[in-house]
Amino acid sequence: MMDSPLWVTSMIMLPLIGAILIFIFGRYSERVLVPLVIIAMSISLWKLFLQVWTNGVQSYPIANWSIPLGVELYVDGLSIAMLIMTFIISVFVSLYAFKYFSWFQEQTNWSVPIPDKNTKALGQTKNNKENQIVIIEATESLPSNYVETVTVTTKRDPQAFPKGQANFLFWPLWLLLWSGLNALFLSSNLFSFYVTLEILTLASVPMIVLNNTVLALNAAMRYLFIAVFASMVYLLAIAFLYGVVGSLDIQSLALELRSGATIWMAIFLIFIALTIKSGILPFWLTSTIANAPIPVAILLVALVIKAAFYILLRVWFEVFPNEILGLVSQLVGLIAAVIIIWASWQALQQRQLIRLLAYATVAQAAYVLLIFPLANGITDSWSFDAWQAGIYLSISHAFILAALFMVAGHILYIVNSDFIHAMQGVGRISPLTLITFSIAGLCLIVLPSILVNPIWQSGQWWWLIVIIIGTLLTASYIFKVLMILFTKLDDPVKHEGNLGLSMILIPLLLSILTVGMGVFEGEISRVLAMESPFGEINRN
Amino acid sequence: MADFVFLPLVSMGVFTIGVYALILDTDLLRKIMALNFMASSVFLLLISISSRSQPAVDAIPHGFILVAIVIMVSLTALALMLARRIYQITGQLYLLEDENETGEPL
Amino acid sequence: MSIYSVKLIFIILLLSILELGLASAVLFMPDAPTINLTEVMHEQLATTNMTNSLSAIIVHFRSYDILLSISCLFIAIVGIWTIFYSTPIIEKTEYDYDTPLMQDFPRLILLVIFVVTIAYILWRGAELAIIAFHIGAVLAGIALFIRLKQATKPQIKNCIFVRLVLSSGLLVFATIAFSVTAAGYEFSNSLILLTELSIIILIAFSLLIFFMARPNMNN
Repeated sequence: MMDSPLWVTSMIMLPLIGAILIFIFGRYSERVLVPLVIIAMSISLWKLFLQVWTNGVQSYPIANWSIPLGVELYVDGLSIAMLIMTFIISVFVSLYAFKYFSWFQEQTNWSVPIPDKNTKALGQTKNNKENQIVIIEATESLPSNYVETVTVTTKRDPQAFPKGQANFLFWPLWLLLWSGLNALFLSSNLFSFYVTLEILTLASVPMIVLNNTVLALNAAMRYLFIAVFASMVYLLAIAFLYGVVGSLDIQSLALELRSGATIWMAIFLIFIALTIKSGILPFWLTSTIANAPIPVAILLVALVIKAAFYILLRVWFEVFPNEILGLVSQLVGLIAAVIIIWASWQALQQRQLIRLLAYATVAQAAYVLLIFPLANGITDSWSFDAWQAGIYLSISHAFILAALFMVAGHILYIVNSDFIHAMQGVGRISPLTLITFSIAGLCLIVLPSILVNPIWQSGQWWWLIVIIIGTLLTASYIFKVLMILFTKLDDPVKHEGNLGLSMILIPLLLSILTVGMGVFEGEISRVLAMESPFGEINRN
Repeated sequence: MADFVFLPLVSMGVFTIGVYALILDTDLLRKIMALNFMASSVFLLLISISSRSQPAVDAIPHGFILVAIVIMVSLTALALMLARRIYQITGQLYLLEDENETGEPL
Repeated sequence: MSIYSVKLIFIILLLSILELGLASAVLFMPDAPTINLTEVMHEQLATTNMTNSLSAIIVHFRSYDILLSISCLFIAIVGIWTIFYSTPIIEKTEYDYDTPLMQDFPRLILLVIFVVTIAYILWRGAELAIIAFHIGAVLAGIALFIRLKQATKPQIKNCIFVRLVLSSGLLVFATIAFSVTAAGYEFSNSLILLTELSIIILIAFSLLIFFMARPNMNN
C-alpha cells in the first residue's frame, strides 16, 4: 500500500517555499514565516512518521516514474530518525538564532587585522599570530600582551547601508539548508546525494561570512574549496559506479555491485570524499567553526557533518559488497582511533573555547567511524547492535554539541571573549550556564561508552583501549573548562547588563532532552530496526 | 572501444591536474579554475561513458552533467564573489593563514 | 634541497599514484554496464510525447534533480547578496565600461544578433533538448549588454519588486512541483510550459546577478 506523498514532499518543499517568501518580503517577515514553517513541518513530520510507523518502509516515486528510470523518495527507520533529529535541532537553533542575531547586530563592528606593513607576504603573519585574531570588540578583556586588533575600512557605504540586512539573510539561507538536508535524508539515489550535498555547501558557505570578519571570509573560502573538492571526488566515484552498473539508485546498486578494480577505486574515493565532508579527515572543521557565528557553527556541527556521515552509512552498509568491507573496516577503525586521540589531544591544548569544542567535534565524529569495524560488514549477529549504537551516538552527539555550542555562545555573550582564561567566575554570574555546560559535558564524556557493548560482543577488545583513552582526554578538556568556570573571581568580569534567559534555557532544554533520549531507547531502536540493512539478520 | 581508452584517460589526467593545482597553487583564482577543471574532467568521463553503449547513446549521464553544470556555475559564482571580497579587503588574492594552521594553506 | 622541494616531490608522487589508480579504474571498467536503461527509456519515451530523450529525462524522469539544481542558482543569489551585505566596504559605484569598443558597437546590431539567436533557438526548439537553458543564457547576455552600455545609469534596486521577480522563477517551479508531486499526477503540457518559463526567468536573472553581484542599497 502506498500512502499519500503529500507529507514527504512537504518535508522538502515547505522550507524551500518559506525561504523564497522570506527573501521576497524582506526583514521582519521571518518573525512570522519561520514559526509558520516550523509548525507546518511539525505536522508533516508527524504524519510522515505515522505513515512509516504503521505501514513500514515507504518509497514515493516522483511524478509516478519509478526506479531505475525515475527518482524515488525513500523513507525508512534511519531516514525518519535523521529527519526528527534535524527537526529538533532546527527548532532549537531557530529560537537561539533569533536571540543571537539581535544581540549580534548591536555588536557589529567591522574590524580587519592588517598584515604587518613591512612584510607584504601573508606567510609572515605567523610571527604575530595574535594580530590575526578578530574578536568583536573584545580587545579590552584580553591580556595586555595581545596586540590590539587594528580596525580599518569601517567607512560605511554612503548610500546608508541598512543595518542588520545581512543578518536577516540568515533566515532564507537556513531554511534552504533545512530543505536540502531533508532532501538528502529522503534521497535514495547517489546522484541526488551529490546534488543535496552541494546545496548544503552553497547554503552554509555564505552563512559563515555573516560573522563580519575577514577571517570569516577566509574560512568560508577555505570551506568552499574543501567541500567542493570533496564533492568532485564523490562525483568521480559515482561516475565510476555508473560506468560499471549503469544505474545509481541504492536498490539497483546493492543488487548489481560486484568487486572489481573500478569498484575498489570508487569505494576509496567515496570514503575519502565523505570523510572530508563529515569533518574527519583534514582538519578544516576547526578554522571554519571558530570563525563562524554560533548558530551557523551549530548547524555545521550538528547537521551538515551528520548529513555527510549519513550518506557514508547508507553506502557502506547497503551498497558496498560485503567481501570488501571485511577487509578494509579494520583499517578504517585504525584511522578513526588515530583521529580520536589526536583531536582530543589537540582539544586539550586549545586556549579558545570554540576551538576546543571544534576539536571535540572532530573527535566525536571519528568515534562513530568505529562502528565500521565493529559491524564488520553486516555478516555477524552483533552487527545490528553496533550499527544502532553508532546511529544513537551520532544523534546524541548532534544534540550535545549543539547544546555545548549554545552555552559557549552564551559565555561569549557574558565575557565578550573567546579565551578560556577570561571566563573565570562565569558560574557566579550565571549558574544556569554552568549547570548546562556540566550536563552537556558529562554527556559528552559518558556517551562513547555506548560502544562498549558491541565491542564486548564482537570480541575486538583493542578498540576498548581507544575508547578509554578518548574518554579520559574528553574528561580532561571538559573539566579544564569547568574548572575555570567554577573559579572564584579575582577581579569582577565585565559583563553585559541583561543576560538573555532564553539564550541559556534553550541549551538547557536540549541537554535535558539528550539525557531523556535514554528513556526512549527502546522506541528509537524499534524505529531504526525498520527495514534496516540488518532486517533479515535481526529477524532470524 | 578505442574511444573508451583515450577519452577517459585524458579526463583522469585533467582531474589529477586539477587536484594538483587546487592543493599547490596559492592564488584564489587558480584554485577556482582548478575546481572547474576537476568538474569538467568528470563531465568528460561521463560523456565517454554515455557514448560507450552501442545501440543508442545513454542520455542519463547527459542529465547528470546538465545538473552538475548548473551547480558548478552557482558554486563558481559564489567562490568568485568571495575571492573578490577578499581581494578588496586584504588587497591580495591569497588565503590568510588561520591561527592554528601551520601547514600549507589548501 | 629545501623542505619545500621535498614536499613538492612527495605531493607529485602521491598525485601520480592517484593518477595511476584512476587510470586503472577507468581501464578496468566493463564495456557495457550491468543495467542498460536505454531500452527501457525508449519504451517509456512514447508515453511522454517527447522526441528527445534528454528533454524527457529533464522534464519527466529526473525532474527532481533539476528542481534541486535550479534551487542551487537561487541559493547562490541569496549567498552572493549575503556576502555583499555582510562586508560593508566602499566599492566603485560606476565602472568604466564605456570603452571605445562598446561605443563603436552599435546597439542595433546587438539587438539583431540577439533576436536572430532567439529566433533560431525557438525554431530549432523541438530538436534542442534544453531550450530553457539556452534562452535563459541568451536573455542574460542581452541584459548584460544593456547593463554594460548604460553603466552610469542606476543599477538594480533592492526592493520587494526586484526580489519578487528574482525569485518568481523558483517560486513557480517549486509550487508546481509541490502540487503535482503531492497529488501524485504527472506533468501536463501546459504545466511543463510554465515550468520552462520559470526556469528561463530564474536562469536569466541569476546569471545577471552572478555578474553584477550588486543590488543598490536604497531600500
